[in-house]
Amino acid sequence: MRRKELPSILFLYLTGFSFTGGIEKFNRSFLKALHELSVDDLIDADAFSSYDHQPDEKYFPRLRFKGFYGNRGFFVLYAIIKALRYNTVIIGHINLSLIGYIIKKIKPSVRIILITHGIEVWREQTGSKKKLLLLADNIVSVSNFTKQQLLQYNLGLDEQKIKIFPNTIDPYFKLPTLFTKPNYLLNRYNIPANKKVLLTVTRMAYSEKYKGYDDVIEALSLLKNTRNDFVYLICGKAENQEQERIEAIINQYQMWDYVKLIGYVNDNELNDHYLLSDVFIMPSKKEGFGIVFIEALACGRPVIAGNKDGSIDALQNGKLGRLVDPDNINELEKAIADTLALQHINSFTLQQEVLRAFDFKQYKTRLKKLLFA
Amino acid sequence: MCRIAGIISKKIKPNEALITQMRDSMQHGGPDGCGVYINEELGLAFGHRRLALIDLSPLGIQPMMDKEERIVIIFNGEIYNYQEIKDKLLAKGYSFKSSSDTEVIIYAYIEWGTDCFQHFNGMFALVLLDKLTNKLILARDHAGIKPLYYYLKNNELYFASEVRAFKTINPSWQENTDWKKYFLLFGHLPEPVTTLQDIQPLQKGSFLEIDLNTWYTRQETFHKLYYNYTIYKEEEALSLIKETLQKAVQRHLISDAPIGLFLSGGIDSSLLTLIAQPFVNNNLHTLSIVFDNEKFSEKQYQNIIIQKTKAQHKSFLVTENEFKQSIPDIINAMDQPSNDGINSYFICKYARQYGLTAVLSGLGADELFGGYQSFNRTKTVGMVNWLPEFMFEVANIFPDDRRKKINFLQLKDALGEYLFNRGFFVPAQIAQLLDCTERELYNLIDDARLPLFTEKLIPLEKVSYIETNLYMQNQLLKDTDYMSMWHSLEVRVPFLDKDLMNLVYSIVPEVRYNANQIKHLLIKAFKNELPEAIWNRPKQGFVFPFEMWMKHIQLQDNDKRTKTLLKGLDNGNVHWSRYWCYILSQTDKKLKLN
Repeated sequence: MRRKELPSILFLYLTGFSFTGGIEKFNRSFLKALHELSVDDLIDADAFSSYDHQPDEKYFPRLRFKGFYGNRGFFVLYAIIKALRYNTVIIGHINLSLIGYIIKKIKPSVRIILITHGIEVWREQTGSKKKLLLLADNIVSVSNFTKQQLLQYNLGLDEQKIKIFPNTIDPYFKLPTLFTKPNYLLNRYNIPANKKVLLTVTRMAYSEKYKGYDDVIEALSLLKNTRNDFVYLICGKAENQEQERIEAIINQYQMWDYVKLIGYVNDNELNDHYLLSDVFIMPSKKEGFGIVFIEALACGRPVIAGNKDGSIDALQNGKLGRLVDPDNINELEKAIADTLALQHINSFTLQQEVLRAFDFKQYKTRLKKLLFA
Repeated sequence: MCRIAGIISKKIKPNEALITQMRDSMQHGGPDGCGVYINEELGLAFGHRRLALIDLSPLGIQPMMDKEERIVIIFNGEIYNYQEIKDKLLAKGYSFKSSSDTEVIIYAYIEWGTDCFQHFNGMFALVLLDKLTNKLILARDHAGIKPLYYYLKNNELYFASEVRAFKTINPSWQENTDWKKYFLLFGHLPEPVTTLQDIQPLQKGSFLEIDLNTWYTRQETFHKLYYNYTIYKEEEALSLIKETLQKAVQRHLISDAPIGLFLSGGIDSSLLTLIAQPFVNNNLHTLSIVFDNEKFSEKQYQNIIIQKTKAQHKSFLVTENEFKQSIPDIINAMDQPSNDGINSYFICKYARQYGLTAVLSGLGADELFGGYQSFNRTKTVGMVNWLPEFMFEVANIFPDDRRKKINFLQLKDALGEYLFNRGFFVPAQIAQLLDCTERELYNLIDDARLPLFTEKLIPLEKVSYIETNLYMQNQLLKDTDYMSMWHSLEVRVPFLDKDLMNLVYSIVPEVRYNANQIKHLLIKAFKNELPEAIWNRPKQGFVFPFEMWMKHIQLQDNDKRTKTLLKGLDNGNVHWSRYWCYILSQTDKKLKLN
């Protein structure tokens, strides 16, 4: 067979392997899908990262990769020069807009795809960001919610070019088959078997007070009047100032017997933490998508989320979990009480349903469709 | 293991005589039984010849149907994990009337549709008709161990396990005009090339679905070997390899007929014998062949393993005279030309004489674990790539073929590297031998380029890729298949077990290869079992006395070209395999045996 002319693709992004977070997870899966489509002999994809040094070769091979380890100036220059050789350049974050804008100006035939995740585009954009939004051939949005925000804040944006491209369960995510609670964690956190566990997984940043764990504490302080057989675990690295703020809230509601701040949880223990819980809760107000929701579901746990952001997409308008008004403490309390009162939860069904909507195979197919649209 | 054939055509309305003729051209591959299925309404005929290994009873006979007669299947191969799949299906409420793996395939298809192929670990080429949907499905195993060739044009489909079957029903089937060129370049025919026009093999790890109402076709890959690194530590790799290879060998020993092993005395076959021993107790049969000349014997190494495992070993002698006498039959056995296969021919012949129906072979270990010279050479090849163009032209002036092949490196890609390592004649020579232009040959090479992603594999992975996808796929597996079938023998290849291959492809190259020791992972994983004398010994290639013996084979009217090659064979400038390759390409001339 004569070698096909393959569309060449360059993916420019910030980080995938040097931090952990929703965007990093998205990028890792994105790299993996690009690699697999290359091995499928459909595209020829390379990637440059401004912060990563080396790729994890599970996701992407090193001969297709260049990492700039935080050397941004050099990254920008190099990316612009090299990008001109590609058919398509994918800009992985709006903060890299300048590169996309210059490429489009020098060589308009290069197709530019811009990926938008969440709050970084939920406001009016200026400068090169605004220009690239208008110039880009396609804009990828991780949720319909983000798409609506884009349209709302950027008048004149062509709706047709915005493609919804939801996040996925990482292809290496170990899907549990038995859904029992891990004993070692019950022991570690000293949780009696009869206690219900509520869980939130998030970075706790003082500057982004939108994740809603403070509201959960307040709602639980109401719930404790009717039942007291529960404990709330908050997993994730906390900034000092945020830690102090949350401790003050716990004091205020006298919830020390009910709330545990776990701190950072290593990736290889993350699934076990999901399994430890009876309900995953995060009534956030500003999620782009909320990958933790679909991870919790993949571990067979019911989810409560807010109804004012991309969480709606992750939970498929409430099909996969319960959506509540994150500003209404009473509604939140009721949702928790209802979920904890459930007699039987079919974990396997939850897992199957979330996979049907968001497994990696579909993610890859979506990428293929996007590239060959 | 069997042979299958079929015709779907409303034009010619295939009848029993025609399908029988097609099927029986491959009779040697299925001596234990046969069957046909005709569906006049669809213009469809299936033929099957059976070599029985699992469920020797008449219940295993094919074409086979389910109880409702919705599915009709013909199947060549073995599904080694069929019992596991059967258990899953039983749990879902299915019931079975035979103990054969064929029936398991039928119900697996009914349950999972075309996703069923992902469940199978084995070697197979199969065709099934789904009468409910009027769809026809052709599928081939993950590693392309079993062959399946087909013709699909103008709402007509012909398929068979061997290319000869097409020629049988239509002796004037047009030849592929380029096959000789490919053959002299590669020493085999690289997929999808065959000797006949419009006949191609089904791609490994894929299925082809044809809607018989509309003739809409869809091909999909159900298994792909990815470099999917998840194992970064040697200790982890070693324990997993040990466990997985042991399981693979055990699976490959499943049989209701007598099974044995080829034992050459090298690392791979010794290891398989050592691993197999506990599973077969005192019933371990091994065999090897030796040639006339003592210096080609590997006997001392075989003896170490025989003593250790108490195997019942038989060594068979191939003499110069037998070699000469067998040449016409060897050429006859070759379904497609291949420069290799002579020793496969003899060892399969003797395995059958020994009373075995199936044997295990070490095929695949070199490709997976880095056992070829090409793995060591790849660094140098990388450096040559920096040379300016004119330097390659210089290579043409070397008298011996090996140096001439430097020429191929100017292609500067994976295919060039392959042809440098394993190519036969360079384009300038072929142009002379076949009266064509060099341009035509370079065009063919362009057509045979490997997928682009191979260029971005790291060098050692690239070598593994080309050895697996060119050499093993087009040469070793084909030879092994048709030579074993010719003698009604099944050869099984545990190193190509799906789980083992997936495992090896998940190991990072730093751990997978070691510059100082070939196949270091295999050796280390089995360091307690494998005697040092087997892996730590003076280098000795697998040499045959063919250099001398080849001279017996000549063309009846020795033209100038043959004479020049014969002279080269004499003075050592032409390797015997190149001479043999040329002889095989001259199908229109008669042979003369001196």
